[in-house]
Amino acid sequence: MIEEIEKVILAAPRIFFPRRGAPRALATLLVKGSLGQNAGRVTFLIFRDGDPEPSLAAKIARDPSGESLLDAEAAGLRFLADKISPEVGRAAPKLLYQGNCGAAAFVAEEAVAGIPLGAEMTETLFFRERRASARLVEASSWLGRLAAESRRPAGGTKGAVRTAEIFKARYPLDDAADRFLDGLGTDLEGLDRECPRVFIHGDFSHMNIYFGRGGMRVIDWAESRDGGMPLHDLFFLLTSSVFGQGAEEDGTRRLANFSSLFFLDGGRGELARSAVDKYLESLKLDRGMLKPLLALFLMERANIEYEVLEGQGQRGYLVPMKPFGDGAKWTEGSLLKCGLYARLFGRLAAARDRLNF
Amino acid sequence: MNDSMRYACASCGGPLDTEAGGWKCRACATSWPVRDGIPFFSARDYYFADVTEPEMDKLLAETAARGWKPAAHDFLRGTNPGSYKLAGDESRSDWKFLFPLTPETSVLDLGSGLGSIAFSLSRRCGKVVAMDISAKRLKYLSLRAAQEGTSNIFPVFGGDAPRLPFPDGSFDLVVLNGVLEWLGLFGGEKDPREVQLEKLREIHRVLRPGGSVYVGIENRTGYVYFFGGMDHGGTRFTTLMPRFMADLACRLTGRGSYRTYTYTEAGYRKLFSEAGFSSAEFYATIPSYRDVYFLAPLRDARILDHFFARLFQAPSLRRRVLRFGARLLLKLRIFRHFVPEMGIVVRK
Repeated sequence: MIEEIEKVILAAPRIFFPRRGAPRALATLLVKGSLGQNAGRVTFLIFRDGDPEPSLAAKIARDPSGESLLDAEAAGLRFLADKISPEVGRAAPKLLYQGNCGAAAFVAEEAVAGIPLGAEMTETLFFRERRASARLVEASSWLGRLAAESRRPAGGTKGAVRTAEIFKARYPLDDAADRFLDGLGTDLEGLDRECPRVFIHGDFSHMNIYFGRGGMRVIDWAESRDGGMPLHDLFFLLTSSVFGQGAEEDGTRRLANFSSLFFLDGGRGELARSAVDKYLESLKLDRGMLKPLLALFLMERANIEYEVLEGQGQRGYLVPMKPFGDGAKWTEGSLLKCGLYARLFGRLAAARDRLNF
Repeated sequence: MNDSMRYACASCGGPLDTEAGGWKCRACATSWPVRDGIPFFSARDYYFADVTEPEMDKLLAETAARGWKPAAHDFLRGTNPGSYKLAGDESRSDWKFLFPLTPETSVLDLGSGLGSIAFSLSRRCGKVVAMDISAKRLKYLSLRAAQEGTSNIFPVFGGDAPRLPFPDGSFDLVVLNGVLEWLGLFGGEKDPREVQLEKLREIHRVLRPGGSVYVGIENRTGYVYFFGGMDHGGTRFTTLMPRFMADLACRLTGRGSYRTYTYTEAGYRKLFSEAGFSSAEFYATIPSYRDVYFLAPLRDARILDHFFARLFQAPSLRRRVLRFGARLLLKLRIFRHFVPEMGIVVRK
């Protein structure tokens, strides 16, 4: 497949290298992506001639069931190119090609250079928390501008209420969480009725944000969609970031991280406040919506991760996660990554009056 | 018995005719039985695997009773998480994208184990023959295929005899993932390298013109062996010794003779060339050929340097030292000699 893709690229250098001439030769680094819900995809980083950095990222579905991911990625990048100002949109790679290579679909986009924010956050040696935090706030500011430019009125659908219903049916909640969720009812209806919708990345983790000479860049748009709830990406970034610990996959650290960022006495509250303030500088939003939006985000992620787990279960292989993997059952799946968000929801319910912003 | 597959006699290579309960060679009259839909081209049933035999029996019973997914998850995941991954994680074989796979592609997966590679390939290829020398593993694979409704995987028992039971030019791709190094165990007292060479010549024969072999294997001088990394026979430092010395070390420690040969890049090139192949391209399989997360051509130091500089996560001091060492070896242009494991694309 790699050879076929290289042939497609060499046959049309103007499409793939619009500002440079035809390459003499190409070489490829294969990068395995995560399994996701439907087998996921694989990325080929393609280097031209003697370049030390890749020029292109070509993506292919692991098997035909994953080709919808490529469509979503291409649609997201097109939206950014067509509907968002170049100042904001340039953080995303340019989509160069969407088509077929033999029997397989593939998309090609400009490769992104730089160092992932995650690497800066999780280095234990010479860890520079101030710099990592500044970059996280910069990413928040960019998210706010993206949200402001893609803002559109609420559609009146019952998405938030429905999300809560699904969440409640799937997860056994303790009394405090149950009461908190019941109390959110009117707020969620309010979000459905009044909260503006924005374009979201959908997987805005610190591993998908790069900083390099060209400034901030964001990769992997396969989960992006128009019409998402504001702050989804920012809350995703804050809940998935772990500082200076070096074990991003360890869920207990994410629990501690959540408390340190989101609660008044948490230790990193200033950082979360700055990030939210930067976001809201661009997207003017009633601050009263923050708490229900955070609760909605946690429920939505729990539901999404549950569906990922279901998809993996249907395929016959569940990626182990620590520590939520212990004791997970084929039919339940409440303890893996989706369990993380359900637990975070429980923490929010227990400390709902101590929220940081 | 599946008639859409073409077999040949594993003794003499002659054509096979159907007979009651199996196949019979038209030339030498050897009979090859078919049991539970699986053709048997060997009389010996071996069992060695990461899953112990009692675990395998339980897994088979659970798979038949409850289906392969609940059995793998509720039983195998708990008792043997490594094998659960080997059995179920199809992304382990992302190296498949090195090859032009189409619905017409015909593949032989030699040493197919629990079948995750065969199933992964079956989603993009026309036909996958899964060959193994353990009847229980093939039974598992066969049950899974039936339960999934996968009709393009053909389990075949055998592979220990010098001759493969297929006519000339049957396959576009032959997969040897973690297999070549073990072949010496099936050669009796014969030199292990000769046994490997014999099998590679057979593979060359069953490949179509322009066909390829994918070999996932260790590098004899991988850096891990200098730090006491375990060789296949359960010994340390033996890969680094001359063969006679490794053999002596194995015998002295009660492990029998040393037969699990691996090679350096140059050694593999020589082996493939002697077997009749025209070229071999080497890739670093990171972290392992059993579970490839990154695959980079060994000839291209700048790609590997990009990997270590940008993509290799180094949150601990140990990994930082590893990254520094790897980049130093790349600068000195000797990294390829110390890479622990490799994926090799060999062309007919």
